[in-house]
Amino acid sequence: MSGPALLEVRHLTRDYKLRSGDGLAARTLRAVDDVSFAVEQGSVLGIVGESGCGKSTLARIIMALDRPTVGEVVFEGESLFALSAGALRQRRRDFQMVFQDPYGSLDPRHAIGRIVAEPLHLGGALTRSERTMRVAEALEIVGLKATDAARYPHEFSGGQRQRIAIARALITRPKLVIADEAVSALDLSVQAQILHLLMELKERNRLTVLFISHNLGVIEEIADRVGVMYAGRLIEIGATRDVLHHPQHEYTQRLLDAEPTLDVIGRSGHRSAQASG
Amino acid sequence: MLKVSALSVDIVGSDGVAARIVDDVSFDLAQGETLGIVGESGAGKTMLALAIMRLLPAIARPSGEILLGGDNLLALSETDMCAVRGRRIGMIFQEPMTALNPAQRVGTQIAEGLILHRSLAQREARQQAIDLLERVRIADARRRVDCFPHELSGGQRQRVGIAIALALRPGLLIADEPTTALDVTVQKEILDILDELVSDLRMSLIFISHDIGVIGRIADSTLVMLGGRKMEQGPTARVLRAPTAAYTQSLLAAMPRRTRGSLARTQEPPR
Amino acid sequence: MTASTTIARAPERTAAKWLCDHAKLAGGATTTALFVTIALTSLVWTPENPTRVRILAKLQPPLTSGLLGTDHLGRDVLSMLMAGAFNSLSIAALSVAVGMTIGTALGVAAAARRGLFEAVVMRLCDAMFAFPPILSAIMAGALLGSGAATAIVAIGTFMVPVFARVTRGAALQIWAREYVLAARMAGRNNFAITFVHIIPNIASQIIIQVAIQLALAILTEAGLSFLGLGVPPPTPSWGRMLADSQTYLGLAPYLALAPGITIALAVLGLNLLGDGLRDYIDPRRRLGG
Repeated sequence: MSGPALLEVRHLTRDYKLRSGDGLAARTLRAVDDVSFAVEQGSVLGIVGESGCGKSTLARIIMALDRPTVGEVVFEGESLFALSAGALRQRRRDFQMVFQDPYGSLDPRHAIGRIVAEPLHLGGALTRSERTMRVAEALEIVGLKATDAARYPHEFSGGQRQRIAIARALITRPKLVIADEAVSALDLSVQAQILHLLMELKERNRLTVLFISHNLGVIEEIADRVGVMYAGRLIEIGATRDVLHHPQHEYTQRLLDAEPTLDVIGRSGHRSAQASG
Repeated sequence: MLKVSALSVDIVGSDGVAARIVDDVSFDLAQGETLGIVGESGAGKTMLALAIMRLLPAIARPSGEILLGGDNLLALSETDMCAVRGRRIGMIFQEPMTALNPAQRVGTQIAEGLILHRSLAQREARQQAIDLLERVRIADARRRVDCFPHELSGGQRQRVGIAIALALRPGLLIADEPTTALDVTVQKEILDILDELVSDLRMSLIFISHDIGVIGRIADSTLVMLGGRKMEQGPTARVLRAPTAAYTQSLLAAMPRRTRGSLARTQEPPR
Repeated sequence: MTASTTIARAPERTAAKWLCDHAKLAGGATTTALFVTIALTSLVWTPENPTRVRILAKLQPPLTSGLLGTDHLGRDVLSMLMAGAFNSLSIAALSVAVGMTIGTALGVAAAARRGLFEAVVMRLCDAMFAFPPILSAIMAGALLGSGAATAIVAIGTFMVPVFARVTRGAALQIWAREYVLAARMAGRNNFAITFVHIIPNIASQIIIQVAIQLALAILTEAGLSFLGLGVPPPTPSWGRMLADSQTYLGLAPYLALAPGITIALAVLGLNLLGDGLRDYIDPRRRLGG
């Protein structure tokens, strides 16, 4: 890592208390276990892991939507959880998130323009025309039309809704965007388009992206560096090429082996590959 | 063993407008063959599967011919079709949690078909349920047979789903996105199990997925669908490595390089 | 990619089909509208003055003196029903308004604050549920005397926990949605989120509850009046008409039938409206998504 770190996560731990049925004994679930890493400005860090590994919890903590039990999140040198509520609110301009479900992340009762403009509450007061202009700008960046601002979510497809969600995430011109399984629910062709869009934004606007996914193929396309999470721990992190071609950890190897590629096709092909491999 | 000819499904809306969601699809499936049906959302794959099982919603009208070992499934009465479902065709669904009755033990659900169709006694049915659980590689089957679905993991529930589908030894298994909701390591296990079972029991399998990598893993032949129509069909290796249809080519081009494999790396256009 | 065939339909057939598909909604809405019209009309006109006593014309059967006859004091039954409609509907509407406003406020606040606040509010609601309206009316009557205000307080008290429960449940579901998470990331506080996102998305469920609770309120008000706890005479009231008719049941059965059927129709109309609205709103929401 050569450049300055935009985001630094230090020893993050998040425990949940679970009450058993009788309400007496309490178990502790450690969703995130001593996770530390840094993200360089203008780079894409991929976080890969299966369900229950804690990646979504990690994302929420970084977005300051949840407090860690231990640890800190340092954004541009400032520790987020040490800020006052007002200061933190101002800081939210600089980091935003895109979620997995294109059907749940947009309020069905609001027009697109209103949805995309929502984060503008964080900025200073904007006049009506300024707001309209910013919305139009954001929609155009993601490949939609300014006139779409008057339409409603149900008029758009899954891929288009995800673009709207990205427009909303970009409208405050943030420095960091977390994409939490943002393309997982999309069709293959749409997925490719959205990834392409994110890559473009990274190149053009020096956008820093934290890309969470369970799909190694997607991670390899978009991430400069990748971290592997398992049971709340960050078990491996490094340059994408290194991690995916020379994994250090046994679990990473298991993930790599599990994902089907077209190198081996068909049942018989697999059986002979397994026999020899 | 299965011959589908000119199968179409029309949905008639309340205003009288008919939309064709499956359009003139034909294919043959040999005994012991696995056919992969791949396409994006809305391509009509699930409707095709439901049409074969005659489980379409009331507003969907199928037409064409579906010959299962000589019987035209579309021409059977509902009573006769009930005898076909489970016995001659088994189905595995995408969501393991909703496909299982959360209020019943898994053993009961597996045994249900056995008791209904084969008139087995409770004890015998329970034993067969345990055998089936062992077949789908569920550890400690003797204890697990009395578990409720929520006590099992997603992968285990899907194995139970497979066990239920296999219980009556159908000749044809239809799996509709069975691994889509599962983690990739769990997916691998499920695919391995399906692979093994299908070979051992010499069953035919129709495997529906939007994931080309999975289709490449499990299917002997592949059928590509778009907008209800068949775009391309052929041996999987040929379809995925040297596709003739433009749509298939665009699908493959959209795949991440890693999934496309080493072939993609040699065929890569300059970036 | 998909071929569609459109069959042109004549406009009247489409309207008729819509009415058939939404029979409950159409029927309920029409009936309720009818009652509201009658109630409002009674403010400016009734066939006879409903409080005018004419002993000489007492217990006249329907169609001999007035459309529905006269009661034991010679008052015109139809006029009394019309004036009673205004009484019942206005008390029901005000009680539901009270219950809805306070109940919704408590419900959405509980869903937003969670924790101790939510627990206290819910237990408070449980306590309010423990007092059936009749009991509350008796207690309120002892404090405030009988009258419209007493009835509204009594019925309204019972409505509050109903709305609180419904809105809290519905609000919790919306809080779990991702667009609320996005709103939190946009820096909105709970108060703003409640007004901008939660309430608009539960509005349809509140409306359905309003229709259903109005039906219940009318029934309860009739019950209170029957027991003498509603508005005092001479204000006409359906419940009291039923009570008075008991003595003359053998002599003049129409005196019981008229208010009884009217109450039943009003309640039925509102129930159908509530059911119809629920059916109408749900499938549409699924499409919208």
